[in-house]
Amino acid sequence: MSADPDRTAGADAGATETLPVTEGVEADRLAELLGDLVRRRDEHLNADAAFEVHPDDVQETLFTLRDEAGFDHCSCVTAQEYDDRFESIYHLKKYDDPTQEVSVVVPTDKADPRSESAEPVYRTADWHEREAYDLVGIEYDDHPDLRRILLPETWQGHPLSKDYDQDRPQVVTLQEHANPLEEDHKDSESDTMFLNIGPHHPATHGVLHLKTTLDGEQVADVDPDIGYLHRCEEQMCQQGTYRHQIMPYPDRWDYISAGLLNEWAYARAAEDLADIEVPDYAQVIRTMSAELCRIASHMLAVGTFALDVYGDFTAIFMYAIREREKAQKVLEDLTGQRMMFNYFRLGGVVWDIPEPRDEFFERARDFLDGLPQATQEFHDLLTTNEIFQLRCVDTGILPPETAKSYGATGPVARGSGIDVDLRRDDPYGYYDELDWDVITQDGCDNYARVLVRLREVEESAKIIEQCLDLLEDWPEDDREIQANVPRTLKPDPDTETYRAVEAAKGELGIYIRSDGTDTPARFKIRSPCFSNLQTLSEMAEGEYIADLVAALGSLDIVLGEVDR
Amino acid sequence: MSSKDTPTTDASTTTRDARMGEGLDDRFNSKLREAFGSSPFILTKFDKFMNWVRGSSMFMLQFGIACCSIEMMHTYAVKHDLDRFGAGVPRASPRQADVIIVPGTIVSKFAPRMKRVYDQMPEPKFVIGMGSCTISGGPFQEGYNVVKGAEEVIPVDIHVPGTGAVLRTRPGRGRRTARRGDRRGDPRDAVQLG
Amino acid sequence: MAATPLQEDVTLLPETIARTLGLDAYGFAGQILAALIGAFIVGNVMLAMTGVAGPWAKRKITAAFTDRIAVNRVGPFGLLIIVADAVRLLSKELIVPENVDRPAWDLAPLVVAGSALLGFAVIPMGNGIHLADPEVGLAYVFATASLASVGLVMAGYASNNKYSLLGGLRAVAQNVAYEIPLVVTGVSVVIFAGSLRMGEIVAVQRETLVVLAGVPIPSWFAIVNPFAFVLFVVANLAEVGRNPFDTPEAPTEIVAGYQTEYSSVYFVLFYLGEFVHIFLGGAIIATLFLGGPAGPVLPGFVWFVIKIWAVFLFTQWARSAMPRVRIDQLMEIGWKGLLVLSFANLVLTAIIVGVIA
Repeated sequence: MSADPDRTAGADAGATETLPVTEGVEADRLAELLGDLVRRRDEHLNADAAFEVHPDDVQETLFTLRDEAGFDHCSCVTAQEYDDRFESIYHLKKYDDPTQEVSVVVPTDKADPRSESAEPVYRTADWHEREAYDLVGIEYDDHPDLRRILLPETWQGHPLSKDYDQDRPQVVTLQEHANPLEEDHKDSESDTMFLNIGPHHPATHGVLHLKTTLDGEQVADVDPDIGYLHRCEEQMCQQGTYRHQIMPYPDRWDYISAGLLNEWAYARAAEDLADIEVPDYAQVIRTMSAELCRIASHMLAVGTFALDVYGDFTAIFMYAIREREKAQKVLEDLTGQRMMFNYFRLGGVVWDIPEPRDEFFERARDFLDGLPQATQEFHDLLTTNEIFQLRCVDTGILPPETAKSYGATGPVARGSGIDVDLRRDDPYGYYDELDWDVITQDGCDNYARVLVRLREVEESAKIIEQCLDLLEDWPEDDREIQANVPRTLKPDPDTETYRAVEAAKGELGIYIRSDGTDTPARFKIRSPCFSNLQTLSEMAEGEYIADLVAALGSLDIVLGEVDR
Repeated sequence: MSSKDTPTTDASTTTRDARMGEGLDDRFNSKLREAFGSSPFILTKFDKFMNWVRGSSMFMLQFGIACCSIEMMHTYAVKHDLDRFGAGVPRASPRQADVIIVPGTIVSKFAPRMKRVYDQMPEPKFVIGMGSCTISGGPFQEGYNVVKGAEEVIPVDIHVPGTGAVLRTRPGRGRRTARRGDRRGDPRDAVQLG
Repeated sequence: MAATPLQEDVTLLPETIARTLGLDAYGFAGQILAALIGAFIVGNVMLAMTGVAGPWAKRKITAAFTDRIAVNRVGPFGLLIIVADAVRLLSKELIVPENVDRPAWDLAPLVVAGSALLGFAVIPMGNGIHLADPEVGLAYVFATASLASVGLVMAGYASNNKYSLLGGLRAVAQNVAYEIPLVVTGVSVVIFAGSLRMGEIVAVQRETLVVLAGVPIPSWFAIVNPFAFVLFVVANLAEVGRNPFDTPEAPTEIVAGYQTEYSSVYFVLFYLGEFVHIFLGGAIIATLFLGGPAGPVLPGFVWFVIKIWAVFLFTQWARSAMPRVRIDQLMEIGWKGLLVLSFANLVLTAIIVGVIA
């Protein structure tokens, strides 16, 4: 089960430094390492240790943890407001072993919430801290560019802070810098041209806005501007009750049919928080359905990437959609929905495989049987196509070190040769009982990322195959689909947890803090796309517009998840 | 042409007036109407013909916002094949589009941009609001940042309710968008009736 | 323009018209009238073909490649979509954005659509459908075809839109880069044929090359010099801006390129112009390499149309199956690849023809 602390402790034998650690020792060793920087130690459900540090010691603490203890992955930055203080939590992990987690807690003054920025240590903290500033109102010294990120520049107040009045009207204007029809962007001093790509543009996969500066056909500078789909997912989840009202929302974060993967992220965090054990049978169903979602999601990723490179709704796109339709059909049989599944429940799933079971299994197997041929078709049409290789090999380069610094995960990281997959490294569900491989490619380019996705589809098919075998042979009197969970769930006050699963785009983490009521006091979503998107400027600057578009496509972002 | 359904059209009316001039919207068939009088046989047929034309052939704007845009792509693609109805040519430029499908939640930052895109489309133009979010904000209605329905920003002709799984009803409805003009002979009526 | 043809069996269309309608009696004015009528007929035939191709055939072909059905609700096989699309597009509002460079912006679509139609004047289409056969026929065709790039850059620059500007610049860079290999490869055909005159090029290809199993194989230049044929077809793809060389339009990169700001009638003209260009490219290929209207059993004109549509089908196939190259790769393929190869082809052809002759 996901929240098993023993496995956490046992898994890091080969990790960066020596000590044959148990949980406490590791935490003690870290405390020793940090010395006086630590003001207080705390208990979080997920982390080996939660250290409270002074707002001015943030960089020093994080540098020490990164360079000397090997915490090279700043997974998430959670900001929240208590009655007496503001707090930023840096959730640190290791790429080598994501089960080792440390939370660095930075409490700041209520009157003047100001702490040191972590951006010099982890580049990914740039956006995370901007989001914290935007939504909660903590200010970060030494931050290179502390502006609003999700909400319009003209917004008044910080919506997730306690004194925010939602009913007060806000004025949002069409701003000058983003006005595509502004008369002349030409700067007489330079030879560059400012170009707004998006928010409505065929290549942005939704409503992303890229402020691009072009030097001829080449991209001199690109600055992603997000927030065009910020629909307050965190607020919605904080208003909903644990048991029932939150679960529909995850479907809409990463809406490319990856709904079940997202639901699992919430389920895992909440089950960890409330200490719920999920029956094995439900875990197998979860694993199977989640992998179906992954296939559907990767198919769309490949299809839209082809759309970007081909330029029209051509064969590849249509074939990808065709495969998705099949996957969605199976999912619809199982969950009753094509996209917004709402199928998981805390402690299991909502219902069993539909009767007649044989028919369902047959359908699912038909889909799997057709899949190798379909992926072969993609390889024939796409990856072995010379023009496609010309376009994609060695473009959109993302070196592994840069990827780590930006907190990239999922296929993006694996395309850069980083061997990380939470399904294997921090096992949950039924994954550790099954036989499958983590796909990595060393290309670091657009091509590698596409290959990773295509091959992950094959791995997912393997997993589903095994799950189907298991489900078929499962004894009839042991088909328990839900654990016994109280109707109203009220976890103990001030329990905190941060749990992540491997969603289609990477590490999807949920931070929940309870306050003893039946709704979370703080619900923070760590979206993989949010971090992955930050790498875009690294990948695209100096390249051609076409490569910018291809790089964006290969990141496979979903704006619903970037903006939440 | 009742105005009570569109309480927030002040701004859009100004824009429209600026573009079309004041008074009755008579750009459709106007010369013929002048020539033949108020209700001649030929014009009825002509209107009917124009409505058939607009109903059978549409260019969609390639415009994705959120969840529903995925299902929208599925309608273009192999299984549902919107092109059967003559609507399978998504245009990237709003200047060449007839129909804008608003497939998702509209938030404060995006609303002015969507208005801009809508304004860039040439008349006659139709709007399909796809999913609950474009009707009322849907599941996100209580959000601090969410616009409570596309109708607050642009006039919507057809609302397609549901969140996510709505597409099976869409192709037929899309055709009816233009057909709604049938009875009046002026597709703009449909736009204004919302 | 009414030069006497060298081939005795070729009578130009205006002459036929003049003779049939008895316009000869009116002297020069009669000739002009006959020429206009001929041009009207040819122009309309070509426009009708593009009319079929644009809204209907293109969709159907693409649909066949992507497992779909495409238009089938209006009329038989959805053919009435041609009427619906045309009327609907023409009845849209014509938006003239602020600050467009007015005469250029208005002229651009006309130039694009018109330049391609001009080219058909010298193409022999079989069954005596041949408007004119000047000494410089081939040069004239290339000249008119490349006029389009002027139209594209006008459109791109005048639209006052950055995407359009990028598209216009791309179009002109691409056309310049691929025009040269196209012409040079065309010259290799001229070396074989010994004339720039289209009628003569077609006539030369009528000769029998070899007889295989009793079937005479004509000396089409595609068979005589397949290398030049492939070069020409590739360069032609770039010339008409289709995949993998559709960078000037490049949806998903620069929205719709030079035509981003165009709506209604002007957009129709662009859309039409694109297809006329594809057909003109097909006509040139057919004339230079595929023996023009030559072919067994069926009348010449039918063969000519079949050949044009074969080229059209090829462009649509490429569109469905091939990714788009990047602009710098496009330049590289053009200047470093095709140009070199086309000159090599030219030199080789010259040597071979010199040795044989």
